[in-house]
Amino acid sequence: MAEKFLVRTDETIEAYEIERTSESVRVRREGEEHWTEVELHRVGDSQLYLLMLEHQPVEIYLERRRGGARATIGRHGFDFKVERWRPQAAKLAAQQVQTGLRRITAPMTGSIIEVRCKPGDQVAPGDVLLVIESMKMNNELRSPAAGVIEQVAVSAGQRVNAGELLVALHVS
Amino acid sequence: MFSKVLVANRGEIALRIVRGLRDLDIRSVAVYSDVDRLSQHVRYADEAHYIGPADARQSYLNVERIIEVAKRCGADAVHPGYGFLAENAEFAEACERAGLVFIGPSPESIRRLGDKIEARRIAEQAGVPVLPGSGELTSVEEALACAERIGYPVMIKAAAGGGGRGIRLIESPEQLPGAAARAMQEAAAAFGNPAIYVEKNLKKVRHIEVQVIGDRYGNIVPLGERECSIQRRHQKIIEECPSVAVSPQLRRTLSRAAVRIARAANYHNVGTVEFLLDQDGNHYFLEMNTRLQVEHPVTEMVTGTDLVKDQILVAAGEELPYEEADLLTRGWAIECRIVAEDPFNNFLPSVGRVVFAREPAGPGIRVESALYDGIEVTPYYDSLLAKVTAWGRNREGARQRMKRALAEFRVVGVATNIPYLQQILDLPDFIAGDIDTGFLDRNQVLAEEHYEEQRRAAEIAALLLVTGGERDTGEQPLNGQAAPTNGYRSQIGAWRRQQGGSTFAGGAMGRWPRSF
Repeated sequence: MAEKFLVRTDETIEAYEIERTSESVRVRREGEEHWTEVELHRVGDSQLYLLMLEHQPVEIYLERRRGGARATIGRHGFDFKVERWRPQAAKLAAQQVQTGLRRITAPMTGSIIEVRCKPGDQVAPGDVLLVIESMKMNNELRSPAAGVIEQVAVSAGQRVNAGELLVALHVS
Repeated sequence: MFSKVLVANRGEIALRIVRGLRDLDIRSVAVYSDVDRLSQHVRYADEAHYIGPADARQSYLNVERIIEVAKRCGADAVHPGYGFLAENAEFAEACERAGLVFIGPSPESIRRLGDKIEARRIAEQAGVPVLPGSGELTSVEEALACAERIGYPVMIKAAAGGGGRGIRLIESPEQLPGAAARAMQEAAAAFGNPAIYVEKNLKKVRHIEVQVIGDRYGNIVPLGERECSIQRRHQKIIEECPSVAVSPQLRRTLSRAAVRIARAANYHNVGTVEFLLDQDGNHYFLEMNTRLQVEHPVTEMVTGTDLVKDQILVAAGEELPYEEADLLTRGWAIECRIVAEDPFNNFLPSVGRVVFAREPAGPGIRVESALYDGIEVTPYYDSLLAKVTAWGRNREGARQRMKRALAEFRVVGVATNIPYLQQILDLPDFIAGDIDTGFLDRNQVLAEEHYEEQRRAAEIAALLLVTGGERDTGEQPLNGQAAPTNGYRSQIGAWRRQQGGSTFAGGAMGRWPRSF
């Protein structure tokens, strides 16, 4: 019998069904018809896992976190909360991810060379918002989406640490 | 011969030098900053000494501190690697004053060849063609007059430049004043010398460089050329040896030119003479690098030499053990630089923790790397993480092996340019060897990002982990019996209970693995 779970990040939410038999484990996302056969193997005592997705091997680094897990694959790290699906939990989670404010943070420690946006500016995806000097190079930081600049938290000449808020963008 | 050598560098090149020293049975001394305590070069060396904070100016560029450590630990010589102090004449002099051998050319050679304007003069005197251009410029008017004379487009370059900094492409007279001012500013900040000069910019040129090595007895041997035309922001990312564009006759011409320049500068050490090669086969001297280069492995793999070892031997006063005629080149080698830059986000440097790294191996593959599981990629140093060199009997063989190696390479936790490199290797013009320094500007390569697939896989993996659904294949046999493999945790738990061992707590949800 399939069981249903919510898998969510700060920005997204997905409902998944899992069906387990003594032979196999299958999952599908809500709304999909096709079941995907999966296996998850831990590599030794490490936090490296091999996920078999329809017999396609995918290496993923997994760390348990309170109420969920952090999954790192390639350059991307995802923090997932996993909880049993209940109508109320699903509704609450959907409300939480619907806010359109996107925090753009410093991808690395560095110095702000130039600020090219100000609150109220309408920006398109790919527009340069800031220039940061790091690793001996000037790097343009671009807008990930279209929207309106809500806040610019830094100024030229300022030194910033990785993860520090640079710009708040109201995604349109 | 030296008994102990201090390696004044970090990362993959420091490890490469430590290995070279061990091959010669010389003790190695690593130095490290605050953020490099756990680095590979520290762990592989015979001794390691702390030299200061992460900021390179206070550690790897701190001449006094490095020399003090070298003297204190009883080193005979200092190997500077590349970057940092490698082409710093004052450092070479300070080593000499302290009674240490600087493993590199004389301070005089570094000084003369490091000044690109003086280097142009040496090349001209040696009868080697240089690009039309100017000497040192003191005003924008002079730059304008020179550009007018040689014709646009021109390049403005810093006299003391390196690493692609202080270079500006100028298409028209209107652009020149502003660009010249910015280049001078950048050159002053980066190199402490605002001097600039103008050079003709040729369309569709290849960057070809000749590796040379010289000893203290006047022997200078050329070791063939490298093709370094695949560049992004004037930084090389793929290099190969030999070049498809260089015929045996041109190779002889370039080699002779390189040797003449090295001889004119009284050069001893490994060094590289860089040329531009235009579509008509004309070559022009560009500059000479007075150090070991990042891309030296391609030459080593094709010529069978060990440049680091030879560099140490000649610095110790030995005569070069081979002549040009002794060298037998074999096959083709391609090197890719793996850097912590995000090709999907405007090549922003990527810092953070590499949670897992696996380097490629197999026939014909050589990896020089600073990576280890858990390494923190910091913003303090350049973004080079590793170099992969592939050797094949011919260019296509090397290319295929490189593709295989890049597909095997895993770096989990920070972004790398691996997807970008993979796509370049598949471009028809790259396969045909039809490349030049503008290749990456013309081919706007950007690999497809598999973000949605990756996200979905991550989602499913997290779901399975949290709900207790992973298979446990890493169990060790207990009591001399083979553990069941491919069983779910519950099955292993049941088996363990039968053995009187501990039981699993089950899934974090408290119910799994009840239902199977």
